[in-house]
Amino acid sequence: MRHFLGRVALTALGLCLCCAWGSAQVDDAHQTWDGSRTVPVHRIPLKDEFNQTIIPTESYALPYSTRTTCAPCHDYATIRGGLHFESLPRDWRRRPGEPWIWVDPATGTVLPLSLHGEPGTWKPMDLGLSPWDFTLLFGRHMTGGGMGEIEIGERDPASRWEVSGILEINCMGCHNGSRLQSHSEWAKQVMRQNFRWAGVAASGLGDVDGMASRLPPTWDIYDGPNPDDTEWAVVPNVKYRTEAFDSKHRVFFDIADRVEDRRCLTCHSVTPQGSRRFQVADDVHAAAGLGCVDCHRHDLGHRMIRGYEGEAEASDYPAAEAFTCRGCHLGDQGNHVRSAPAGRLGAPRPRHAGIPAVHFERLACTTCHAGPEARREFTRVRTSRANRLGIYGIADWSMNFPDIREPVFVRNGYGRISPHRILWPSLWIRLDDDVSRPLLPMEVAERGAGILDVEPKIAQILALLSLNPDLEGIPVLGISGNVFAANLDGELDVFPWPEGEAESEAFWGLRSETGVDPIIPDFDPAAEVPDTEVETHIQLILESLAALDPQEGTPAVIHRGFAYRMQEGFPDIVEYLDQSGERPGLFRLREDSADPLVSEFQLRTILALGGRKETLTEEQVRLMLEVFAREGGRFAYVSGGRLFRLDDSGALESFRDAAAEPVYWPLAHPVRPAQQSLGIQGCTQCHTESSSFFFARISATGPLLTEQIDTRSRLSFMGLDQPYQRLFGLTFRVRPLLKILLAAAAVLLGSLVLLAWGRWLGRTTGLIDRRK
Amino acid sequence: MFRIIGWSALLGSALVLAYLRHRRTGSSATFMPWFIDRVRGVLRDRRFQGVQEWIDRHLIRPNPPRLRWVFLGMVLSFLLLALSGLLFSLLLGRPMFGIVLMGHVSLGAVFSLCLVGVVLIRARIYRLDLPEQRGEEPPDVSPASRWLFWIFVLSGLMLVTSALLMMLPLFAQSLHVMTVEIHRYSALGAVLAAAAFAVLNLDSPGGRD
Repeated sequence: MRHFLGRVALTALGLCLCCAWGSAQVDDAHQTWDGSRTVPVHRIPLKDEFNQTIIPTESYALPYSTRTTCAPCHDYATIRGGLHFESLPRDWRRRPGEPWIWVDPATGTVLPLSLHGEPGTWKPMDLGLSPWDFTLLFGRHMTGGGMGEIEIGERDPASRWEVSGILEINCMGCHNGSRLQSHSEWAKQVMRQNFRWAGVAASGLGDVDGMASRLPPTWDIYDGPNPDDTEWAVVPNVKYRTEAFDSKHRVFFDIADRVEDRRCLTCHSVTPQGSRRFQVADDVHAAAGLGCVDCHRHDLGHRMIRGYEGEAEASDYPAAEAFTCRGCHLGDQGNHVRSAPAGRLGAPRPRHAGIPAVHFERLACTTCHAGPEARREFTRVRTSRANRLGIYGIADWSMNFPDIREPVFVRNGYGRISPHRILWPSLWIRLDDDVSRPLLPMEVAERGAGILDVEPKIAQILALLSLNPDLEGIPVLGISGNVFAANLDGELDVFPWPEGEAESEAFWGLRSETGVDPIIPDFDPAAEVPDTEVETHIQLILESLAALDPQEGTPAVIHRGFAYRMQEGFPDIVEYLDQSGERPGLFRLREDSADPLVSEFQLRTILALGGRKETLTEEQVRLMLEVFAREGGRFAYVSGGRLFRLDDSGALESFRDAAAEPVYWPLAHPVRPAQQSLGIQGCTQCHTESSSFFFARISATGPLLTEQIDTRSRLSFMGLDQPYQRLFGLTFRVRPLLKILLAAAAVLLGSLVLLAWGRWLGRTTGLIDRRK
Repeated sequence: MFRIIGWSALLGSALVLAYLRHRRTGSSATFMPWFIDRVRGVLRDRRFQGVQEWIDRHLIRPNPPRLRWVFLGMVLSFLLLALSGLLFSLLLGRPMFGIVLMGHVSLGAVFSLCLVGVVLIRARIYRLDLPEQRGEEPPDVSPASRWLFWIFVLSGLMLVTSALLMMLPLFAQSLHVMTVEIHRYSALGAVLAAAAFAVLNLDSPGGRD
């Protein structure tokens, strides 16, 4: 410990002497490429955040810092201006990106956020989210840097940056060629608020223990480990793999020559929901051996080429033009390419036989060639960032929400129709005259006690009962042919009633292999000789339920005019005539009443939502809006493309509103083989009076179980006229006839012209004799 | 490019044809006043009475009653095709789209049918080999009219063929674009030939210049 403090003091002194350590350490000579196309061997010493060389055998070695470790050769300040670090101003009008989506099923929130203010998204800062909040929410799929690397002066007082450290750019997250690199470890450490340790844990250079989230807010790195607590609030620490270091304390970084696709796919995977791994189509470029970085190139500044048309103008990066679809496949003959030779990396030149030129003017290449085919049904996809994919461990991190669909076709910033993914936001919103503002999930949850927490409340009761080892079976709540049981995530799983006649009323039972039995068997509480076995059983149940909130009443079993409850740790039986059901029931006893342990409202709610993807009922929304209304102001709930609010009579009404508009962002992968491109089957693949490309309808999605859902046709997103497109599609029914007619006319006209001109030529040249 | 060529050709042809027309009755010095006067006259003629009379005299009356609709159909469809085509290619400078495109394609079918009919009916009158070459009496059609007729038919053939080829998945993108250009220039050629034919035969007794 003393050794550690001394070292920290020395380094702090060193820091004071060279404040601008980041850039000062960079050797400018290394910033210019010497022309060699090899990758230097990266056997380098690891440096901690104080720029001290790490000695792996030290008792409390600090995590390595990419700022200092990579700095001698790579200018960190230049790198952090890159696209992935959210620092680059982005012209969303040209190409919006996938938003960060805050999903909270309990409050029915699906809130798209973006630092760049794309249409349909909210800026985190406008909602009161600090960089700290943002990093905690989304750091799992952040590359580090940007919002995770806030300067001291910009830090929110409520944040815990001093404890967690900053989330530096995770260079190895992309550039590591080693198979030890683990994104799951990165996500785990971020969730534990071990920001400064996340990089080393993910790289596999060491093992990290402890959780910064459990440390007091006053702790900082200078405090070092806490020897008094090795169980709970354990200070994060790293144990380096000593075999990774050489005798000079250097580590070999297996830097990948080209960043491997799997590194990109960590955050950029998109797969159809429910598909199996072998069914997922590869991008045709990947199948041909190209990697992501063959097109999405960058230099030290990490200004990734995104590869969309118009990027050269939008980003003032002329080289980008050569890496668009047209740039590689059409080259100089493309409409806008200025200096790109076609055929880069062997790109074939498309024939596009028989396709009228108007298609190339109005459609992006991706419309016909990328994403899933435009069928009648829209493909529901899960993305890494939105659905938390690619994080593996004991817990299942992935989520079904948000519900993202594709493809819809929307005009891009270049005025061309291109395929997009679409998401309908769901949120509670305060409607103000000036600016409407969504409520954050915690603000809603605060007011939603007793309304929104139906499932966790019942799950809690079942979980408490299941803690009782004397109960033989899994505690369940049965109603109307359904059986609800708590799962490990604190949610309810629903099963059909196993066998026999289903109970129509709420029924607390124990599920076993043979069926569902009552949790308390029928007995006669007024019997002269009490059934001690049953009474003991009741006592165990009531002891289990003692952990419930006492303010909501005392858990009790009421049967035939008697109430069993726990009084100061002892069973107590009192006469209670108000509730005299035929079956022993679980209640909450209050001073003047007894209510069932699960209310009618709760039963209605779980019955309605059981086994469904929706998480809210209209009744819950109405009750919540009543709660908000009592606070004053106008509030509404947005789901399924509609805005719900209370009308004058207190009923729920819904209508279309700008706040309920979907958010969409373009997709460009996977690129399908030419034989699977749109239009390969002919014009009528799109141009019929009822084609999927134009007329397939999509229903908005959301957490609210309702029939009031917005539906739209694909055409409506394109901004095209529906009657015209139907009429135009109809003309293709008679087009074969038109072709035959034109062909016949051409043959006849051609023959006549040949004959007339041939005769004239013949007579003029004398080949045909004049008649007398 | 097409817009420049198109405008130049149309305006130049209009002037040349007007001049040729004027030269039959007046001198070069009186051309401009005469031209302006004729343009005013056309503009004042709100009901296009002159055009109607011309159609009646040259297209309807000289043909057998059962076949008149063929001529009428060809002229009307050609007029509408030319108007819609030139509107987009010369005035708007963008590819045709929407209802106009659908109408253009539909009229194209009518035009091709009628053109075939007209050629079948009139080919003999407008034979290119001169009567004296055939050892026959010269017919009542000038050589210029005959050549213009066949230039119009040839342009029509190219129009029909290029329209057909555009609908078939035969050509790659660049050839497809070239086909569109051929279609445009053929249309321009047809318009010029038709205009010259009309002007040369306007009010000339017996169709002779």
